[in-house]
Amino acid sequence: MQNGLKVNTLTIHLIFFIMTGFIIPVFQPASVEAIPAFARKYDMSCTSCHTKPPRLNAFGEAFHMAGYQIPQTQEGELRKKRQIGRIHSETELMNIFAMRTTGNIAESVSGGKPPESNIAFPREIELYFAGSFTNNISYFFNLSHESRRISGLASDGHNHGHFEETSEFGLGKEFFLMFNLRPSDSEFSHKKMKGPMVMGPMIMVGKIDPSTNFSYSSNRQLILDSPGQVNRESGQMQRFTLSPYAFSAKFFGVQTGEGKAIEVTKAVLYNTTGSYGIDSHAMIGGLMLQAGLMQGILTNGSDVNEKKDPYLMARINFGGTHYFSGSVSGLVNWGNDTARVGTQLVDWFRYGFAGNIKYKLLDIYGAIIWDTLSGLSASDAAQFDDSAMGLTIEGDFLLTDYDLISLRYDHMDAGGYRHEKADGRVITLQLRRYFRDNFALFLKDSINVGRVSRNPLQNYRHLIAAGIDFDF
Amino acid sequence: MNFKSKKIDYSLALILTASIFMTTDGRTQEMDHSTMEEHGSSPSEKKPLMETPVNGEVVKPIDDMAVMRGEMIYKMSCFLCHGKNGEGDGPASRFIGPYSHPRPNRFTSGVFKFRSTESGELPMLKDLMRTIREGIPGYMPSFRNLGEDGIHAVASYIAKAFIREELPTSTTIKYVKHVGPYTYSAKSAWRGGILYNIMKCNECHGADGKGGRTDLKDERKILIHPVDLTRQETFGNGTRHEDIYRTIMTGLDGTPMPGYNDAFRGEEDSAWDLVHFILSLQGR
Ligand code: HEC
Ligand code: HEC
Repeated sequence: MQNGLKVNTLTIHLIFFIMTGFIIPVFQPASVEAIPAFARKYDMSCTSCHTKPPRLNAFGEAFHMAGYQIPQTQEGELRKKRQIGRIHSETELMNIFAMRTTGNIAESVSGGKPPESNIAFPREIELYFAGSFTNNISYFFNLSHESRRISGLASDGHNHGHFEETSEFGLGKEFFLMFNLRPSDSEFSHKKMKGPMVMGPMIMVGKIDPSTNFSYSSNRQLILDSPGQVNRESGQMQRFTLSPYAFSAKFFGVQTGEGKAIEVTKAVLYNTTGSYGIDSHAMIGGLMLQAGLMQGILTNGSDVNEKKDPYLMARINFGGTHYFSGSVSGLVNWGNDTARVGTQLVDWFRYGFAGNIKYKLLDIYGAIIWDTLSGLSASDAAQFDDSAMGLTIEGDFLLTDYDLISLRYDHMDAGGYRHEKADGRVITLQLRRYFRDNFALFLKDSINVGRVSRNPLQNYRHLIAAGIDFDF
Repeated sequence: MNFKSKKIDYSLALILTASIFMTTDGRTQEMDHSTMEEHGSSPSEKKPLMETPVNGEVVKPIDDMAVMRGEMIYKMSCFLCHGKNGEGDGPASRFIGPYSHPRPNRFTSGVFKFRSTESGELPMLKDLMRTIREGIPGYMPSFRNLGEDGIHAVASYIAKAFIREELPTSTTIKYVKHVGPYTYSAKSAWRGGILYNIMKCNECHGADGKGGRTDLKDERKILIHPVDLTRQETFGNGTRHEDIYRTIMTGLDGTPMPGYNDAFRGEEDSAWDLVHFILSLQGR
């Protein structure tokens, strides 16, 4: 492994043993500790908004939808704020600042070639600044350090493309301002009681992840991605990152407009974890409508696409009694000359559905997304499968106040060059233990339940990893 | 329906401690035993010592307009935790207290923790308003930015739609103001420390106040931990001196924390000793 330290299997087992057998009894789970920015600011525990961070529960979704404010209040907590004219400033930096460190610290791959084990450094360290300037302008700034990040290199699109592993510090996944065009005000009249309740419209501008409003959002994963692996000398992909297949690119051999390789399992278009764009959304009763424009398809926004990629999303929320809530969402997304196959710029059409049901301590969510490429050259059309489908379903359940069990199924009917494409079917089982509200260790096993082959999507049977998720 | 906390007779213990301190401290003689608590307007010359802030404050009565506005606020915010029907079964509720106390209150049950009324009674409208205004650290955000009218509206809605009974407008509990002899002194805190053990607070809260018992269940049979008295940030019923006094007198219905109003009847200054002991645990 390139960035990790290579060690033998015995050491790995030792580490697993230490983590599960030794640390667990030593750290007694602590009760309520108000943690990152919002929790500190509102004096609440993480679970007021999250099933477990970063997944949101129904209240967290409403808080998020209202522009990081408590619905119906103008700004949930002015107690700790100084007001300068109409602008509030936080008197305590810690009320807007948060940090998150996540990643595997031990990994073991078996069933593929070659089997390997290694220890690693947590892959991501993220810093957040979030809050509201006024009752209708909120901000969310994210800086991150990401290691083992896989970036595409210029290539001909065959042999799964060429990639490099990099470490980057810089603007994180999201960096935006959000404007509420119709903030809730303290004036009240009979007129406002008529018709459905309306929240927003809200406008997000900057580096955004529009899927934060989808019933299954890309960036709130309790099962973290298992980082892929490239050969440092040749740039050859050895194993693709394991991420939710529904959101992935799914096409073998597709490139960015500039001609750089796109990892098959990279979240793209509407489901990217952050790209430049402008988004608007509003709630009318239980219905959310969202429309926006994104630039390009890549997380980095490095794409040189003159045209913009529009999307439309509608979501219906239901529930509110009997510990039950849920939502269904439908999406259409048009990638305008957004990618390249061979020498040809192609349009990328994406549509799909997502759903979420929460009942008591059970949280089930999933998405199914279809992708179609059009505008391929005649020669490519014969050897390139221009449609693909991805499905991801996850269920999380809190076994105790401190233990979360998660099960996820990923399915990909891949598209792309027929001679190199392969389908994926993976089941991941994960256990997380929260030693504090904000500190968890996890142990997971991703089992390739489909074919094991030399294809970088399939060349393992088990991907076992232990890691941490720490928020401050 | 109502979870009535067991009232224990502490008169013996109180007489004991009172007799110890009567001689060393003339303070108890200053106590005004007149019954001013019904309406705080009694023209007593000892007014600065005793006040009935609870009954004295005027809260707007519930009206239809407030209830309508309250419904709107409730259906945008509160239902997510408390449930659309006020049953405490909102979609976010279980995640707040997965397997342990607290969970969002079931307004329909009539059991309320944060009252200025006797154990087993309904809260006053102003009690609901205080909880909504201040929030509950750890579990419920402060809604002070609804403004007083908004807070009044949503409290009215809860009363009308879910509690569906007339809320009391006065209380028989005597609220002695935190002035004069009732202010903090090391001696008072020391006396409180003795009372803390005599009254068996330590059996639940531990000798050091950090919360001893781990086997307690609340009214819904959910595990509940006695509050760590050394950490004011974990107090749900407020941390001002008068808040702690109120907690001790009223108890927290629906939890094992009993109300001690009966035990302190006529000896309210001893309750202040306990408050001061708790403050001293927190280094305040
Ligand atoms: C994030 C979840 C959450 C939201 C939102 C919320 N509450 Fe609460 N609320 C709670 C919890 C949890 C409790 C119980 C805390 C306890 O028992 O210590 C509670 C308790 C209360 C109580 C006190 C009941 C008692 O026992 O005395 C009142 C009154 C109340 N809530 C009103 C409201 C109102 C009104 C709103 C909306 C404006 C609201 N709540 C919104 C979580 C919430
Ligand atoms: C039978 C057990 C029991 C006894 C006896 C008891 N308590 Fe408690 N007390 C509790 C529990 C349980 C809670 C936590 C309630 C909650 O979480 O809402 C609590 C909470 C409190 C709180 C914090 C309330 C808040 O704002 O959250 C104070 C203060 C307190 N007790 C003081 C006392 C004092 C003083 C005594 C003795 C006079 C006493 N308790 C006796 C069980 C007990």
